[in-house]
Amino acid sequence: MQQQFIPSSEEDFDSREQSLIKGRFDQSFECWELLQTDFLLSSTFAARTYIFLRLSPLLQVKNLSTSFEVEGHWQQVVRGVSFSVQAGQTLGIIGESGCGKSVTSLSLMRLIPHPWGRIDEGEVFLAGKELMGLSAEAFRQIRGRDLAMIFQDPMTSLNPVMTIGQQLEEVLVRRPKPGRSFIERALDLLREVGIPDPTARLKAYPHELSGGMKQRVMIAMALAAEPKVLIADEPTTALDVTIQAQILALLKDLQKRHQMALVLITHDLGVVAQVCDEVAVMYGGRLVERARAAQFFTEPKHPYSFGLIRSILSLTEPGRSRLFTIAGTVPQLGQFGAGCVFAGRCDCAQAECLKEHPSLVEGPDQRALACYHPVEESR
Amino acid sequence: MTAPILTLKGLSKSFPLKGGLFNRVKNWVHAVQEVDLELLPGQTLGLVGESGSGKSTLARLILRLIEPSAGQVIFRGKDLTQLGHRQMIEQRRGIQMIFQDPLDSLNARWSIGQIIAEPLEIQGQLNRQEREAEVARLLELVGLSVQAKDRFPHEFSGGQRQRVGVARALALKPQLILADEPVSALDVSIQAQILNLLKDLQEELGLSYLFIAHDIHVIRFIAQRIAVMYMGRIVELGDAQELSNHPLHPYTRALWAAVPSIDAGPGLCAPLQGEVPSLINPPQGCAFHPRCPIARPDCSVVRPKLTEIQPGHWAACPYGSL
Repeated sequence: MQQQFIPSSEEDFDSREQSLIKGRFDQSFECWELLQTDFLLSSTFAARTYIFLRLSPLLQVKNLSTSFEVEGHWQQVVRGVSFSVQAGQTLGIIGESGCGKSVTSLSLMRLIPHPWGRIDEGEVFLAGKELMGLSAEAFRQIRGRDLAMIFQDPMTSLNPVMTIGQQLEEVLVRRPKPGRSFIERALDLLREVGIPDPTARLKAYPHELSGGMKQRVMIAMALAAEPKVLIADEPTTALDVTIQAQILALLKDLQKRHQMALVLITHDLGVVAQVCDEVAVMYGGRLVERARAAQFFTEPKHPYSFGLIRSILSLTEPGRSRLFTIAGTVPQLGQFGAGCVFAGRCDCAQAECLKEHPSLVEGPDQRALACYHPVEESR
Repeated sequence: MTAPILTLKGLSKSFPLKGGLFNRVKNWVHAVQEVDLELLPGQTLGLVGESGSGKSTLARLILRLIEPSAGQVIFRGKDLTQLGHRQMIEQRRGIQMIFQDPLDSLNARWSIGQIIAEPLEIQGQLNRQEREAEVARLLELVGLSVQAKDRFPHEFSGGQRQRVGVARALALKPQLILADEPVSALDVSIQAQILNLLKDLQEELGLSYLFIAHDIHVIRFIAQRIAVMYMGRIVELGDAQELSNHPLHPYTRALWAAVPSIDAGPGLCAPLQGEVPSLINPPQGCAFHPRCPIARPDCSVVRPKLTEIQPGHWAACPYGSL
C-alpha cells in the first residue's frame, strides 16, 4: 500500500530529496519551482514538512473501476481510471456523454446507487488517507466535509420545499462553530459567493432564484464545511454564457482563497482551456490522455483528443464550408470489444489496436497516454 | 434583389399574467417586442441570445403555434397572421421546425417510420406505398439506414435521433426550416456531423434556415446573417463575419467575450455583471443599461432604436461604435 510519505526525521528527507528533484516534482510550474527552491533552502523540519505536504497530491485516485447492472449483466462503465490533483490546482475531466466522467465523480463520493451499481476496485487517497476501505459511517464524516461536490442542475439538486436558509443550516449543523450562530454563518457564506441581499435570500425558496443564483447557493452549501477538494460536475452546463463566466470566475476565486483542489467535469473544451491546469480525457469509461492544459491544446497526442480539438477549431476557422468530424458514434455500453475503446472511430487504428486496450503510460512532461499510435503532428 | 422568403414586421407577443379573485390580468410579460427581420431564400439567419431573450417564442410566433399580439409574418408574400385555420395548415407545409431535444420531440411509442410518415399522412397527398418509399428516401437523405424505420427513438444515440428530427422536418419538402437549438443537446463530435448535414441539405434542397442557438461559434459557422436578441428585442443585426469580428452593441461584445474559447489561453475575461432583468418590469430606456459597461445617463431614459450604423450592419446602441 503506497501511503503518502510523511517524514518522521531529518534522514528521511535526505533520502527522498534526490527522487524529489529528479522524479515527479521535476516540473516547470512557476509556483512549484518556487516551492521546490524553498524546500531545498529551508532548514527547519517544520517548514520542510509543510512544503512537502503542499507538493504532494491532495487527491489521488488509483485504478478506479465502477460497474452497473444493465439488463442482468454487469457492465463496467469506468475502467481503471487514475489521476491526482494538488491543492490549489484544477483538473478538468472532459469527455462526451456516457464516457463515465460523472460516474467517476460519483464513485469518488461513494454515491453509486446500491444495488444497481458497485465500485469494483480502486483506491482513493485524500491527503494520504485511503477512503475506499473506510466503513460507510466513517466515510460519511468525509463526504461533504473534506470532499464536496456541486452538481449540474441546481434546480434538481436543491430541495424545492425548503428555504435556502434551512438548506444551508442542514450543512452548518454538522460543523458547529462556537460563538457563531447559523444565521450569521449562512449570511457569510451567501456573501462569499456573491449573492446580493443575502438576508432576504435566506427566506427565499429555490424557485424564486435564477439559475445562476441557485448555482451560487449550491456552491455556498459545498463550501460550508470548508472542503479540501471540490468536485464540480458540469457546474455551468445549464447556465447561459454570461452567467457561466460569472460562476467560473467565482469558482477560481474561491479556489484561490481556500487553496482547494478543484476537479471540474465538463464537456466544454473552452471552459477547460480557460480554468484548468491539467486535463484528463475520458472515452468509453477509460482515461485515454492526461496532460498539462497548455500542452494538451497545442499538442494533443491521442487521436480522440486530436479529433475533438480539430472539430472545435474548424468551427472558428473563417471561410470553412465543412466541419472536421470524428466519424461514427460512441458505441453502446458493452459493445466496445476487446481492443482500444476508440479503435472503431480511429483513423490511425491498426491490427493491434483491436486486440487489447493500450494501458495508460506515463510519459515525460507529466503526460500520460493510452495509445499505440499517437498523433505526431501538432494541431 | 430577390424577394425575401420570410419577412417579420413589428412582431410582438405579450403573455398576460393572471391572478387574484377574478383572475384578472395583473401584468404582462413582454416576450417579443417589435421584431423586424428579413430572410432571403437559400440563406441562413442566425438568432443568438440568452435564455429568456425570446428567440424560441419568435420561432413559434412565425408558425403561429403561439398567436402574435401584434405585427405581421409574411411568408412567400402572404401574411400568415391573417389566414384562417385551413389556409394556415396549407402554409405550414412550407415551414417546418427542428427542436432542441430529439428525445422529447419524438414520440417514444412510435417507430421511426411512423414518426416520419406522420406529416405525410396529415397532409394526405400520398398513398401508403408512396409514403413508405418517401420515408426510405428521407432516411437515406439524412444518413440513416432504411432499416431504422422499424426501430424506436430510444434505440438511437442523440445524434441519430436528431437526424430523425431533420428527416421529419423535411418530409413535406418545406422551403423554410426553423431550427430551435438543434445541436445544443449534442456532444461536440456529433454536433459537427449534424451541422455538416444541415449545411449539405441546404445546398442540395435550397432551404432557408432560421437558426436559433446560443453558441456563437455554431451560429457564425452556419449563418450568413446574425441577429442578436436581448429581452425580446433585436439589439444587433448584420452580416455574420462582420458582426462577429466587429460587434457594435456592448451586449454582443459581452456575449462574445463570455464564450470560452480554446485559443484564448488560460484566464477569464471580466464577466458581465448582474443578470437579465425581469421581463415583467423591464428597465426604462435601453433594456441593457443596468449591466452595460459603457452606459451613459440618457441610456436609462431613451431606448435607442435599431439603426443602420454601417451599411447592412444595424445596432440599437448609439455609443457602441464610438
